[in-house]
Amino acid sequence: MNPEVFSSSPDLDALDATLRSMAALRPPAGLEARLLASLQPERGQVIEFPHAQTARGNGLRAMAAAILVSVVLGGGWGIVSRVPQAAPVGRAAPLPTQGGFSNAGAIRAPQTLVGPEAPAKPVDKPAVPAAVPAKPAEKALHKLPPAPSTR
Amino acid sequence: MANTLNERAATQADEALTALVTEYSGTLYRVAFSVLRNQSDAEDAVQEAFVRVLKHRDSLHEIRDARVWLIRIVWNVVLDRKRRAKTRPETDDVSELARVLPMGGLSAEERAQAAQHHAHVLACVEQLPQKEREVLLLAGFEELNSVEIAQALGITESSVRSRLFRARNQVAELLRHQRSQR
Repeated sequence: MNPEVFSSSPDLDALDATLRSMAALRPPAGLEARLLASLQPERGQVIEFPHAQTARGNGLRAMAAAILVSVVLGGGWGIVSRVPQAAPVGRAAPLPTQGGFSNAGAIRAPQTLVGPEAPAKPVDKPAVPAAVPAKPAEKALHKLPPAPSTR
Repeated sequence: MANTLNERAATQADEALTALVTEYSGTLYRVAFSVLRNQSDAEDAVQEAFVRVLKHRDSLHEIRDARVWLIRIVWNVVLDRKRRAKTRPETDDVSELARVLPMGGLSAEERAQAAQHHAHVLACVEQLPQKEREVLLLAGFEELNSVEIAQALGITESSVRSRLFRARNQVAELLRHQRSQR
């Protein structure tokens, strides 16, 4: 028991006896061996990593990386080449200004000042006139009857 | 050349860790058992403590007082476990104590009575506030003085003394009260 013990009493004696028993507890048999064995995998990982920093190991790793990259890129190109490419959607170029007016930063200015031009109508050829019945002579309005004879 | 230096450093750290396990596993087990009151839980706690030590394997040579440092680590481990675990009934303590506490020369009946007595005292200790309980349990180990207890708990030595005084008085009062009720 810790020598810094205070006043004694039966109850404190009981307390001290219990604490002494706990302090005198023997660890279970084989505790040390089990602890060292359980720490072995963690210790192994730390000791053995990095596994082999040899030139041959580095070359093999580089080759494997190159093969992996080429497979990925080749597969990706195959996919890209089969997919129809959509029209690039991007930012349209700003229109140049015309007639002294600015386009106010518009990207696309619809042509509204100059109206759309209608296509010229085709000129129709004059048709051949059909036979037109003679019109009755117009009555002379002021035509005098013939004069009677005198003998 | 670099590989040789790395291997040599790893071997030295490995040897240092092995030395710590060999020298302090028993102490750490007793500290853990004083809180957890279960043999397998205490062993798990000690293992977890050394796993945490493993993370500092490269700086083990910088530790001034390994014993106090290890006790502090296992103390934090057991407190974490105790917070997560459910409250143990006193009957479990009795059977466990009867099995593990050294009671040489006692008959089976005497062992059972002694275990029951110890479990009853520990139940009173469990009723203490955490700060007083921690100091009281660590003070039970002769290998720790008040300065080392203060270092392990991260408090001042005067705090250790005052908490220990209060803890002992409170446990004595609890035992006296229960004895008067019988």
